[in-house]
Amino acid sequence: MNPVLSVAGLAKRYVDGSAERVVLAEVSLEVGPGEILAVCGPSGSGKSTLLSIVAGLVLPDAGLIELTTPEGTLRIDGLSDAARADVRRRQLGYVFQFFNLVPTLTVRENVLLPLELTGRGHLRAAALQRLADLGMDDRLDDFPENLSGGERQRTAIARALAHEPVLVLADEPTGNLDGGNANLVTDLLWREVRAQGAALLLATHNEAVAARADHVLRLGAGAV
Amino acid sequence: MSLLGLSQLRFLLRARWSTLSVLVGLTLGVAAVVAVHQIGSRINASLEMVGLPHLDGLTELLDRDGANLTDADYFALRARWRAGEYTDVRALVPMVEGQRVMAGRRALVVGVDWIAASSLPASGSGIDGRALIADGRLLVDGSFGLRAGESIEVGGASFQVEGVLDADLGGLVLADLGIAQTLLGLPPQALSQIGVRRSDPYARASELAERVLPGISAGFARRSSGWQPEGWRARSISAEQPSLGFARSVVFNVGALGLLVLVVAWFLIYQIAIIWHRRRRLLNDRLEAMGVSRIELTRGFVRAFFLLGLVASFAGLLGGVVLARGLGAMTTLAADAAGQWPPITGWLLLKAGVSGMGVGSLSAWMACRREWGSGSGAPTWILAGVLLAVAAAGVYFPVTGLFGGFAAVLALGMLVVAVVQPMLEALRASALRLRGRLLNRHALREVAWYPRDLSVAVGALSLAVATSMAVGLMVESFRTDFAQMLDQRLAHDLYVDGGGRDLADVHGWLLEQPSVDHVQPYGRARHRVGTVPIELGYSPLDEAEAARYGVRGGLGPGEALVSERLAGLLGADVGDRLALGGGLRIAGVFSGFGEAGYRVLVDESVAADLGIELVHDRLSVSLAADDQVAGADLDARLLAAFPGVEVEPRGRMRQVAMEIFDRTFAITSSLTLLALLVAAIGVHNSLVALRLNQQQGVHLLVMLGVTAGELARVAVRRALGIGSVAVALALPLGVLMAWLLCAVINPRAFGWTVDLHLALSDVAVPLALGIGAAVLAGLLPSPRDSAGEI
Repeated sequence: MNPVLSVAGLAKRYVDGSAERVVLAEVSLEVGPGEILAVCGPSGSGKSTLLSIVAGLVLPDAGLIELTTPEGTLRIDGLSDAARADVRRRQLGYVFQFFNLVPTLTVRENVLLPLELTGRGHLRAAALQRLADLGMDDRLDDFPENLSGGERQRTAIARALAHEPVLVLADEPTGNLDGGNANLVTDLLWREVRAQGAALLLATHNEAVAARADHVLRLGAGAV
Repeated sequence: MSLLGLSQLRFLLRARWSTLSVLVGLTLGVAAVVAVHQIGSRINASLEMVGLPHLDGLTELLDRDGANLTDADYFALRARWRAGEYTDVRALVPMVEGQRVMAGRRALVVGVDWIAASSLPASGSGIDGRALIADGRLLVDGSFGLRAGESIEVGGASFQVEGVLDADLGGLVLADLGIAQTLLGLPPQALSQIGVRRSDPYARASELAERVLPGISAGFARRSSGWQPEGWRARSISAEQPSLGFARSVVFNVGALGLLVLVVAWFLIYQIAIIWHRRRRLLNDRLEAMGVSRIELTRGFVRAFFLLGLVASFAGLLGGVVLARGLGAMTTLAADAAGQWPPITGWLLLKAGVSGMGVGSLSAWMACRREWGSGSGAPTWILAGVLLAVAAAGVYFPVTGLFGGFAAVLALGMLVVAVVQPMLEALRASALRLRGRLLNRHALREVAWYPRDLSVAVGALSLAVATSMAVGLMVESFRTDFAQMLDQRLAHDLYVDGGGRDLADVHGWLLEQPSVDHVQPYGRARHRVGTVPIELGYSPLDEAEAARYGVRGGLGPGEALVSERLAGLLGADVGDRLALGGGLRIAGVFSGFGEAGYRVLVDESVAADLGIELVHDRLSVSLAADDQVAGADLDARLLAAFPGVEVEPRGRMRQVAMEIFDRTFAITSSLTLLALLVAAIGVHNSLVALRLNQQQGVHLLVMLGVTAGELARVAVRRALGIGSVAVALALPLGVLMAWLLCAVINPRAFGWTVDLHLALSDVAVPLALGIGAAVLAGLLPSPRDSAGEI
């Protein structure tokens, strides 16, 4: 089975004046459909940078990033800004620790936003059904400010999967939740990603969460 | 410098963009105030030159209410004064005045007891009349075309011109009491009035206020001193010179608009202060935890704005001087004023300082009160009620004068600003009903989502748009009425002005020209209706002439036409009787836009009955309908035959009148545009703050694959939403303000009413400008360094 995401020899450094800081060095990984890869490491180890590079928000200094989609395999690091934005729009889903939802859109509207952006209106019923499965069917017309942390993350999971992306990126999705809610959100994320057959690249410093992943990539000072 | 102060200073330097916005906005506000002060001072200075110099320093004139006045009356009054009966009187000056024809023109001859007048304070005209005491010496105004040392022949006697006043005062001759009595053919004991100077705290306060706020004395309703010595009738000096009050009303109106720019700047700075305060919340919390009190934090915050105000005051002072010259160059208002631009006085420095530093400090203090919840917390509806009550009182109580009118305008403006936040909150409550694309919904909801961040800026934009609309509507309505008046009045083909000289010879020459069908002669004399000084115009008021003033049929014997300004002052209307001669019936009231004084028109026979020596210094000429071509060069031939006269064809008269009209209102248009600019800066600053505060939200959209183009469209839609809210509020406010300007402020300032014409373009253009300003503010990029302001 071909991997959904294939990263090889990735490197990234930042230059601040005369000082140079290596964030990522020789990072390679693969994630297949329905697989969950947890990227672990302390603060500053380069987890978020890795996710940003995979998302095409930051370009690497070296390395190769390939994404296999139903339309073919794309080298993300070789695409233009507009093409990378299109990849994010159509092929990727996101769950973050904070600022997961657009504050001026309701729960329903937040989940339907990726469908509108990708023109995949036919997935509307399935997206709303997923919201109901996540226990959010009575909060559809609420705005994010009226939701609890757990409810926001459940909505974010529904939003991340609404347009059926091939890869979901999650950056500390349980970092802002208490233990009970963190477990619940993790369960839901795992369940939905696997049900959809998407790949999940998860950045976390929570060993308990990482332990539930199919594979774990440990980063320390930018290196595996 | 204390560490807290250093922290504040570094914050200002770090928040470069906001700091710059505060400086620019406040500088423009101060500049507007300084510019209108300079223009007002220049007009006031010119007024002193065209005011009647023998009235300088006086507060009242006393007469016997129609009965003959003699020097015995004066001495009796002086004896009572010296006996201590009138403790507030500082000087009594006997005077005689009357009219007579001298050197071919009508002259107002005034005789003054210059010895008595020497106790008056030095006047603006700088006349020392003691030089006139010598026999046969006169002082004449510029209209005579004489020079000092020349002689003037009157009734076979020769009088030497001691000096010439620079201004054209319509034919004024000043002399010693005895000489004036001789010139007027009056007995030596005859007097016309006694000039009085009283110690009047109100007048002193008014003079002082004029130095700080030129034109402010026109803001109050006409005030009677109430001083009336037994057996005498007192007339206030301000009522004697209505043109001074008229011009001060112009200055007051311009000054009020200048203040409006400052008010809008105040809103801008208040909004920025709120945003800054919020950004410093975490820091302030930490400092509070370290034991720094809120009073100390407030003091530091206010000090930072005071510092910015200081810089803005200086910059605004310089900018205002430049702006005044620019505005003066584009309008007749300042161009007509004699003399040089006034120097930068201590009063002006004080005014600029109070405007800049005061507004800056006040904004910071208000932001602290609002953000720390230590304000009065009065609900919006109470504030709205108070503002409505102020507006209603200003409109319904004429005694509140121009101040009341402008207070109503300002109260309505503040009301709009006050209701923006509740309105945005109400819009937010109905946000679910919004339909359409989700990114559009997001953009539009953002308008209502952060009411505290946007409400003041949106309110300021509303106020600026409404003012622009109101001024535009008023000016255009005025223009329409003015054009109608011109069309009615300019019924003849050619107009000849002798500049005060009797045009009997020109009249005769014109009648000999075959191309001339009709010549209408006009003359004017000073007179009074009761105590009100008027210009009495006379002409053969036949049916055609009366029609020029909107009256059908000629004027019957004992009838008169009065200007709207005079009718308003007297509370008189058609059919009422005027206290003039035996009591003239008012046959019509005519509009007199632009007339600074009060005017009555009568037939020549009535003027003659009033004892007026008929002199015609203006003529209007109708050319024969079938001989227009031959008449085309009539003006050239007329000028060749009579080089001293001025000749204008109808078309040119109309064109010049309309050009003067348009230039007169150039200042108002410029100031409203300035207010709009300041408001746009405010909106941009709020949007930058909004973008900075919502950066994470934007980041989320980027992660979702929203492109830069789509984000720009979101920004435009959000700005359109802001502009729409602003203009939705500005529309009713602008129309209401236009009505106030036409129906309340114009009558109170100038004595005329203007019919409000709601022209679509005058409504649409300011609204489009408002939306355009908001969109422009939304499209302008956030400066790179603003990222560091979070």
